[in-house]
Amino acid sequence: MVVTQVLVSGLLVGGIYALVAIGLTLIWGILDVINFAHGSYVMVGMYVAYFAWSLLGLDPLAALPFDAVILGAAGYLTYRFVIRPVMGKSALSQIVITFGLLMLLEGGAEVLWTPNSRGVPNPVSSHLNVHLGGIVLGGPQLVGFVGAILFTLVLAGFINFTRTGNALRATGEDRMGAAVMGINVERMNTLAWVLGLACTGIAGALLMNTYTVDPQAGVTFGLIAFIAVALGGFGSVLGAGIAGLLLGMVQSLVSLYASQYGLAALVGLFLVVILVRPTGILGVR
Amino acid sequence: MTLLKLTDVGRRFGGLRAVDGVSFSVERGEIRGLIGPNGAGKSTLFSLIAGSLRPTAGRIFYEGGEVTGWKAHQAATAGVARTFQLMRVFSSMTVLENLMVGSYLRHPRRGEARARAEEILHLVELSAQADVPARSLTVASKKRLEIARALATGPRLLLLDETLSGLTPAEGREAVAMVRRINDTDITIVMVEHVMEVVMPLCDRVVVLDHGRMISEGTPAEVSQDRAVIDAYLGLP
Amino acid sequence: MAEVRCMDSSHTKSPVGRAIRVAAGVSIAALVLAACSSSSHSASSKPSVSSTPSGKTVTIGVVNDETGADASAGLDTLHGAELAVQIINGKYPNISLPFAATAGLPNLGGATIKLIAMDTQDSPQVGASDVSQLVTSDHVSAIEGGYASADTQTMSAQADRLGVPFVNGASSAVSLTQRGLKWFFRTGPTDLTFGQGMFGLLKQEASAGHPVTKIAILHTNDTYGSGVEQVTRQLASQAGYQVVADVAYDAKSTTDLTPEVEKIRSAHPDVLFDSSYTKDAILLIQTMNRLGYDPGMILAYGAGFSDPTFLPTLGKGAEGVMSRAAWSVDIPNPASKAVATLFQKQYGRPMTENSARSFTAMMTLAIAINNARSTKPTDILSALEAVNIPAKDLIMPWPGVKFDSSHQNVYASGIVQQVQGGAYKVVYPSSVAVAQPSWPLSVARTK
Repeated sequence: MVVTQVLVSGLLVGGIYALVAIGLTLIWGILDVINFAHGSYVMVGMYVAYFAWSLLGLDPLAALPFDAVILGAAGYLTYRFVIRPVMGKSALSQIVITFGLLMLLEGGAEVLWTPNSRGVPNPVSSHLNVHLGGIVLGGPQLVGFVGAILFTLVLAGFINFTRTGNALRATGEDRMGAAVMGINVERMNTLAWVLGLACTGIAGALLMNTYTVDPQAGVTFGLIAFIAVALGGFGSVLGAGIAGLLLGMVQSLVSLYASQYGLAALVGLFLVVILVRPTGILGVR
Repeated sequence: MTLLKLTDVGRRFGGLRAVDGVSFSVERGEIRGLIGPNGAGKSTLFSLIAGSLRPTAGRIFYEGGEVTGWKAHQAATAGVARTFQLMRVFSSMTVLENLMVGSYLRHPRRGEARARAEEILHLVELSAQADVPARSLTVASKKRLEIARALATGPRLLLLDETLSGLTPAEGREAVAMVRRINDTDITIVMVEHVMEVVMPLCDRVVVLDHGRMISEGTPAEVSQDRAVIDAYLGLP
Repeated sequence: MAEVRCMDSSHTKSPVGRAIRVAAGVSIAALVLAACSSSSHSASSKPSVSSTPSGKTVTIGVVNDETGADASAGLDTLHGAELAVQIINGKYPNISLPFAATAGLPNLGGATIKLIAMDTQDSPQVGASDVSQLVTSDHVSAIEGGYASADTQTMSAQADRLGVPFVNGASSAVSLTQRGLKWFFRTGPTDLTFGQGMFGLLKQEASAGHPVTKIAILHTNDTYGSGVEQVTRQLASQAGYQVVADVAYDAKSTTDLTPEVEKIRSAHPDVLFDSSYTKDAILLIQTMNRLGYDPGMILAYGAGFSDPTFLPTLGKGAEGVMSRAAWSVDIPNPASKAVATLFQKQYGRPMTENSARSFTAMMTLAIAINNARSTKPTDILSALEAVNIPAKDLIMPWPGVKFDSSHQNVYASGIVQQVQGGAYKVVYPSSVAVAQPSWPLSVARTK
């Protein structure tokens, strides 16, 4: 019973990992740019949800679409003004620039919003606990999980079965090849950033149902997203999603027996997979 | 009617003039050969026409309008398609999905794009492999897929980059026939080849490049008698 | 058909040049941000800079964590020290504390204190190099500061090597004053004295008919958490209690405490001792409430439980929880209330125990410097060793400040507070208590 409860809780947390990882894998897969600031955008998404509550009185769930739009817009601006100038440049300059973004966002959050933790008291989702044969599914966690899975499925459908999704995938495979097929690669790059960061906005809103936000709040989610993307195969939306869920469960299970080593176990798992199957679980490249 | 016109087109990479002062015109319906030894600037010239690279000198006109420095996706939208010497199929996507990337350009609806892609697959005889990932095709099939993908964008000008090289004699004959079939559907073709013999029977006119400069232009018979062309080719090891 | 045939002029600009400019811009912005929060800046921008007639100043360094995970507590400690200096340098006749009524330190001809503030940036290494800079470049007479015990550990070791007094008020790891350092002093309570307070409460409850036999410990896997673990184990074995669960977790990376809570639940303790930072403290209470688990009582070693976010975020969920503290605005002490009022006015937020602790460390340092009649580190060291401050000169619930041979304040002790009606009330010891403890948790929550 204890193990089941722990695994279920891990699975629910894994839903959020999956969502954050999918945003990262979209950007990574389509632009070949490693967004080190991804976790910081999750933090910004959490602040957006927090301020939607503190200034407008919106529940994090009501703020979700709003949060997705704001972070999507942030994705547009980030691509247009920060990333586009280093497209096609060395990997080092891309790393430096997204790392700079990370410092800018965390430092900016600290200056603008102080280092204090902030939380949304008593969100609607906290009244949605589900009791299932002795197992408790926490409302905020359940909502986060369902929201993350729904969005993942919608996104996977979009990527696999629409014109734009087809163009996105083609761009991810070969930018020049896509361009000569009449695909506006610039537009696809922008779209990847908008969608990728909209994921962090949605994740931010879902996280504010149960976590407090401070300028460092995104660090762990960013790190786990990297591991999930590597496990799931770089650029694979479905792979990142499955890896996210798996990581949530592994972390919880390890925590039950050796609680301080949950994250260490994930890093270990990452190393093993990189050695045994470098392309990730569902990766092909 | 002149479909494509280049005047004094050049491209420099640092101090290297990869293409230098090239001028010629291509008439609608033609099959035009573009030949020259390795490193003559043929592929670079393709990239300049198709928008993959910007010229550093000269002007390019297509269907009467100036298109100098356009972008690759603008060229494709305007009906200029190209293949690459090194095949660039989308390897993790299926063969059908590869074609749909192109066919969506003229058929925004998924069903129509799919139907058009299947039609072209049939034309290039790849229907049996529609649902396999492109990476598992043979080299010859990949070359065909590359051409099919370009056709799927609905071009009026098709730029083929060494489509005929590296094939067995039998595959080569099939490919030549395919180029003729494509040309018969009112698609003008400019093809780069580095082996002169291949293009002789196929092309109406030929442009010869050497070290980025145009050294000869004329019918295949004319250029093969040209002293400058013979020197350029004999100069090779 | 062929509609797009324009020259795109934006492409004629060099993308390389643009990339370099943007990269430079972002890097500079990041550096500026880092510099704003980390470089040394004079903290005495308030009235305290106004020079005295004699124009003499005593330079003191303050090092706190202003940027990292503990930044909110770090700012509290910085502001506590700043406020002490402001009261010393200015004239505050309404506050009954030493040097308040007059400007400056009387024995040094009214010399004022000048603070140079540095940021540890959440790193013990940076903290140590901050100390070096304060001593070698700024030639400070003494240093006050430190919140996270890990930072205080390296900073005080560095000060010891350089031979400058380092006074700390807010770090509680017992080990800090067990290293035989010559130049390090701690005015505040240790986790041991805090623990003694909490175990005192357990004993009091046992005699009131609420006996405890089994305890569980949940702690972070860092210096603070393992210090708490050791102290709690030590006190439990002395009192004859059985430790049935001892669970460590990583506060920085934890996203779900279900496994930890389930592990404690299956051990069936009568009371849970906890050391957690803010986000994990809130997560812990939420997780226990969600899983419907009542550990009998929660006794927390401050930290996240004292964070200003803790009560508002949890609302009713935190009712009945107990936490140790070194100070509370409730304690019956007029000077303390006056200082807290000034703090609220000055910084726009309530004074916290961390502010009170660094305030006291700074006050103690000022008294020692005044007694020494000198700004030389060796003279200040001797004066600190001899200091004996009575309770009336403090804002703390202690009998005074006097250092033992390890340089720990022998009078420092903790209080225990309980969330009653949505706010912390001092419930132990009875000498300063404003409310009766409500025991166990289930009873406290039905009130």
